Amino acid sequence: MKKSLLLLAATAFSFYSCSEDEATPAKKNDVEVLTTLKAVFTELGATKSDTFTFRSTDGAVFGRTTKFDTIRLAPLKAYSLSLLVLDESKQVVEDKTPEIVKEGKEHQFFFNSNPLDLLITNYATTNKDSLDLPIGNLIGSITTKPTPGTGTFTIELVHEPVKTNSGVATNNRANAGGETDISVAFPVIIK
Amino acid sequence: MMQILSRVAFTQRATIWLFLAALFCFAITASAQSNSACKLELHGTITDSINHEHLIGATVIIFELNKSTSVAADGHFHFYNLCPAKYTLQFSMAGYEQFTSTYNLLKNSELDIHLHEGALQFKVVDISASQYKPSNTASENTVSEADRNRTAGQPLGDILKTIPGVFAFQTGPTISKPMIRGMHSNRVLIVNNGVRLEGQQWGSEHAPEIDPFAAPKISVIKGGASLRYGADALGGTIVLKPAPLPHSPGIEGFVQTNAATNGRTGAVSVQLEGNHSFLPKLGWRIQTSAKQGGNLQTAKYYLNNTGVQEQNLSAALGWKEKHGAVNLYYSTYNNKIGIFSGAHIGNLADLEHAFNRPDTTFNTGFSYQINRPYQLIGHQLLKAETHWNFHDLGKFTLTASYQNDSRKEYDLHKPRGGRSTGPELEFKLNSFQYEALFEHKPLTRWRGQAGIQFATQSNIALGRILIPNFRLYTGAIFISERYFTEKWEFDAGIRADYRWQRSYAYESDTLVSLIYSYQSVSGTIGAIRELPKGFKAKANFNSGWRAPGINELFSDGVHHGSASYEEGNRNLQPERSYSTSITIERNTGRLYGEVGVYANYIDNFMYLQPQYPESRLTIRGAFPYFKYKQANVFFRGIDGQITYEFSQRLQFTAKGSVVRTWNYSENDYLILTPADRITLSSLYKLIDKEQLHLSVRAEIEQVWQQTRAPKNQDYTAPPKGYYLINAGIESTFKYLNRNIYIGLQARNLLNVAYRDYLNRFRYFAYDLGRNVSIQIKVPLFKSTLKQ
Repeated sequence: MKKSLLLLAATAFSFYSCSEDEATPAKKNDVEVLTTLKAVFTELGATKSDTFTFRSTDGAVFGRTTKFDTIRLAPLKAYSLSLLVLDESKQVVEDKTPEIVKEGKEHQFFFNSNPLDLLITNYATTNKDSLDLPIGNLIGSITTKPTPGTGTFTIELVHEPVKTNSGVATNNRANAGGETDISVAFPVIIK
Repeated sequence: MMQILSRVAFTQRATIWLFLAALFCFAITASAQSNSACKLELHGTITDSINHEHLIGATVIIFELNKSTSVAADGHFHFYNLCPAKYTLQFSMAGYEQFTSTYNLLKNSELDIHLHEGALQFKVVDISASQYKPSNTASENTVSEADRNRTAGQPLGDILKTIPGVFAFQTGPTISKPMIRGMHSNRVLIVNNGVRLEGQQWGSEHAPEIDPFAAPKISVIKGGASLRYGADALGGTIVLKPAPLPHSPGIEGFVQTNAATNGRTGAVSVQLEGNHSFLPKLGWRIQTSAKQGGNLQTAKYYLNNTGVQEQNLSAALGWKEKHGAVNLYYSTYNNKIGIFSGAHIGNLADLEHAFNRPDTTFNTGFSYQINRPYQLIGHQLLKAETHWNFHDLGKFTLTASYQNDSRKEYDLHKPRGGRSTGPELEFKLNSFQYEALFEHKPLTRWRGQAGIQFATQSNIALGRILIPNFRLYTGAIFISERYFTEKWEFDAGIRADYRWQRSYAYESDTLVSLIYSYQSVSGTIGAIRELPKGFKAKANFNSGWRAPGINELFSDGVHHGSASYEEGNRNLQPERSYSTSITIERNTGRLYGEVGVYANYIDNFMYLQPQYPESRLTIRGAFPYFKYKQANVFFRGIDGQITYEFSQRLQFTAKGSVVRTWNYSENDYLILTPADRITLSSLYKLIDKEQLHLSVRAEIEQVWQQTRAPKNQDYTAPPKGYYLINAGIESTFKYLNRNIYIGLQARNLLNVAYRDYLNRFRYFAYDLGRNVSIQIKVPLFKSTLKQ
């Protein structure tokens, strides 16, 4: 009887010796969190560029601050577009764009303008992966509508799209399948 | 259109209930008429004299008639159509020596045999209906041995589905959770080997970390009546019990296997147990099982990445003295579950794409390969227990246990740029539980127990963080007492709980630590009344409470696979239930079974409320936004199972469940309320000899459409109703002095393409198609011979 109680106590005690400390949670986690999309519009032939940002710290631990710019461009102008994807949840901000481009076969950006003529994307002017299929983080030419107007411009990043499906290489998101990594519908004002 | 639909559903339902009622009346009449000379019944129980546990599988032989039977999983044995005469009865059980007695059978009789474990002392304690057997005043069901044999190798959630009122809440075909009378997860408590299972509560995709092969007895207490295991089991408690360790010399063991066509799944379990004459006080058991399955198949196509791999081990060691024992138990559960790729979605737009794509997009044929997304689950339990009987006082039991639950979830996404290939989400949960239980000495009409419990828990969350780290302490004290007379039995119990929880998480570079503490009382009161002809009526009222769980307080983020943004609520208050149930049951005769009705009102019921049309904007797009809210809700329903034996060869069983819910705060139904269902089956014994039993079984499972779902809260309407035809052939026979079981089962024989409302992947794919499986159970040694 006494022996068994001792045994029980010994077992109970030995349980305690293997606990990790939950009181000091991991401050930064190693998991990738895409927090920020920056769209950099540069007027063709000019050097000055405008950057429009969507930032959501969602996914980081608690609390959220969001920056959600409105894209403001001039009518009847041609721009080049460069997209930047960042992970700002880490103490040192990571630029994810080079990784996306390096793994270009598994990534593709798609664009959708509403109304259709608000921003006309010349998808043929995009950068290509090693199989000569579009990646889309760089666009050579986007033309704004001749008269002032408002609407939205949606930028999507799809992971593992089927780029060979019908229309996908020419900006058809619906046929691409895959998983949506980024989908931001920027408000647009052409003035 | 809606009206017409519901009227059709109503007519169908009415027909079934009318049919059931007719069957019931018919059966009662039939049984009342069968009282002529050679129509006597002899039934009873065989229990361990010390702990009063039923000795399932113990055999009873009537020598004069060369008839034998065994104690079924419900704890009873039965003989029918006996003539009045003096019979020689022999009772035996592995680990107990045979006992023979003569009995003069003059009328329908009930025997209660108590056997002293390991000792040479046996006595027939009573030969009347007055012997006391403790039973639950709430509805309690044990999965029958026949159903256990048929469902060998399946997950716990699927095995429990054989009990009316218990449903399988699924996340795809590989993750199945038990849902009792409409409640699941943290409102259903699973008690494995006397220890609360910690790890499965937080999410609908957290399947219980249990190897059912290791638990010969699985029972369900519906509703919150089981005070001993915790106040928070408002839905019910699932109790898994191992068999007692052997305490007479010899080694026994068996192999149990299951092989199924769907998923080309195989499962095998080997168990060995023994006791040796040089150390008769020591009993041991070791059991191991393994399972492997590949892509499962619907009626029309394969489901990509739905394989499963599982390896489990359990070991038990017991030292038994005359007045007590010390027992050690260890188990490990290791599981890798593939998640159907087609169900992993990035945002709401992906969900739309999923609805509109051809169903066969993810039909990549058969493979055993498990790719991303998958879950890697590890669970370990170590338990030490000792109990001592003091003649003048009663029995003391001390239990200490440790559980380690490790859950790793891998997303579909391979990490970009060759970063670490660790899990995207990880929980490490460590739980310690201690209990001191005292059962006072059985008094003439009183039985009772009291106990103190203490538990600690710590959680470490890594990766994509959904919930914070936390530390939890709980303490409880409870007492229950029962009083019985010849016809009545009463029980009452009360429990007080204290709970202290502290969370730790960084909120933008600041460590935020919040303390929550709760205390409250729960209680239960009930009565059982013996009625004529072996019927029993039970009534129970109980009130319990549940503190908000860590996920309900702190969840914050996108829930993968359900395309929803879930937000916890730090101001949640505990919920409280007021629950009543009435059960009518009969365990003897040709007509047996039980029917239960219940009503459960819950104040401050915590649930995820859709915030439609508001949505949460993330970089992945807009997500439907769900917030933890509280409401006053009402669950009520009826469920039951009735078997009628037309003859010794033919029996018919009807099983059904109806659940109704209402949210008073929103004036609407509750989401995920199980649809009405009924299962009709008949079993015919082709050969029923001592050396060879052979039976065939046919079953129809009907599930109606859930027409009582909340509006505008789900992506699609509840799926249409469906029916499945199942069939089986099974045999127990003697070969090389071993009792061997072989069963062949076919589920969804017609290969119907259907979707079930309680399967969260119904948006993406059909449910499982035809499955043909074979189950074999073979004793390893001749000494296992029970007759």
